[in-house]
Amino acid sequence: MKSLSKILILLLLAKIISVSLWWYLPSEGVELNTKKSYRAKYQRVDFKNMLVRTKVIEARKKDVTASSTSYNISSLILKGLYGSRFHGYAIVTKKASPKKTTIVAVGESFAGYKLKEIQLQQVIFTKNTREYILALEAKRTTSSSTIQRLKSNTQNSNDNSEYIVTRADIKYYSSNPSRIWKDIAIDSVKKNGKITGFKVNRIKPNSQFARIGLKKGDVIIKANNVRLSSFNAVFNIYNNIKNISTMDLVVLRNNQEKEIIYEIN
Amino acid sequence: MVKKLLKFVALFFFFIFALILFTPKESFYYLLEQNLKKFDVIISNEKLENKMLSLNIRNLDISVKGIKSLKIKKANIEILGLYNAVELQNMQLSSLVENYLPAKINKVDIYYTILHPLQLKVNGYGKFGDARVVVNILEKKATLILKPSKVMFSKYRNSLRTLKKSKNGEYTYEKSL
Repeated sequence: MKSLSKILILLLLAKIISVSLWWYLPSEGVELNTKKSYRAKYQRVDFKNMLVRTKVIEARKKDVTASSTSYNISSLILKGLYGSRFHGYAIVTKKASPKKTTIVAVGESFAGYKLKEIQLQQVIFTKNTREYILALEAKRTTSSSTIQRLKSNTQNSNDNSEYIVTRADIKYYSSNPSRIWKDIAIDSVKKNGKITGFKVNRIKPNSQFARIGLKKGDVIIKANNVRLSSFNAVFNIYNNIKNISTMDLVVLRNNQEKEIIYEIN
Repeated sequence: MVKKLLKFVALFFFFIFALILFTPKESFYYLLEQNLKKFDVIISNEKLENKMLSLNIRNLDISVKGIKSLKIKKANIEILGLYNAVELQNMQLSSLVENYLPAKINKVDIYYTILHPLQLKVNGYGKFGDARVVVNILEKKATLILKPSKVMFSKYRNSLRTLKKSKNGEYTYEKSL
């Protein structure tokens, strides 16, 4: 009887201790709160075209009549596209003057060809009731080797802040991540213990990174309107790179913000 | 005298058993989570199940510095005083590390016993092979000993180069904590 009472007292004591522990210990855990960042879809708009729209269309109408016979579809290059089906733009150029790009909206004409439809990797032009498919430049050069493709497909477009990067480039680096750190060295920049951006400490000359407008000393502070204030922000972009068609980087260069735009084809 | 001593020991162990039985294990787990948060390690989406002497946890998503780094299908925590163990099953590392080592880890056992009071031991196996880690609490040093799988030799040779090869074909790595 004495032993039983001792056991009961011990049980009671254990229960009292556990209840007091329960009272003082936290009653709920920690969950990861992922901040949903605002990412406006990048859309390249040629304001010059918009301002002189009527003149441009008139000029193009003349172009259709005057030069419809002089341009073959194979003499055109599709540099990029934006939008889907019957809404969007195509960036086209003539082989004769590849640096002079023109943005053509669906319904507009270029070199006698009317832009009818935008598809995933190609656009459809019409001329004299016949349809012509113009594939993206990157897609047409897939027969070359990976490294050659990387070299040939990363092109600087009209100015120094817009670049075209192919999916092959991204695939190459994602399947060889060790190459990334051989070609570029990036480190976080902190202010009062908080990450304010990512500094480019080294770029291997003639590497892919050297060709896409980044320079040693650049501090990347934003990507697609998302402030890079954590590793998470960077890895979110890395993980979603397959779904991104444009990348808008804001870098601090000589204490001035510079915007670099990449079209991923 | 001996009888009294035995009775005392029996009652002591009974008390410890009762204490473990009644302990709010979830609350201790939440305390662990709050402490891990200080190191930017967050465990989310998990489901807790309080067993008599242990705590079962399912579907843990572990994020380090906000990066989803590890998924664990099942974990079992046993804190018995003399023997304490954490058993982790079906772990999947983030795809970010897949270029350095296989992402799939079958099982990891972490245990601490009173028999080796200055050592924390970890055993694990997965596609990478078999690994054991010994943490020397006094010296604050962790030693990894890896028996690599064929996959490690064929696909992750670069990762193996960062380890030191020993004569018996095992690979070791030491780190001060």
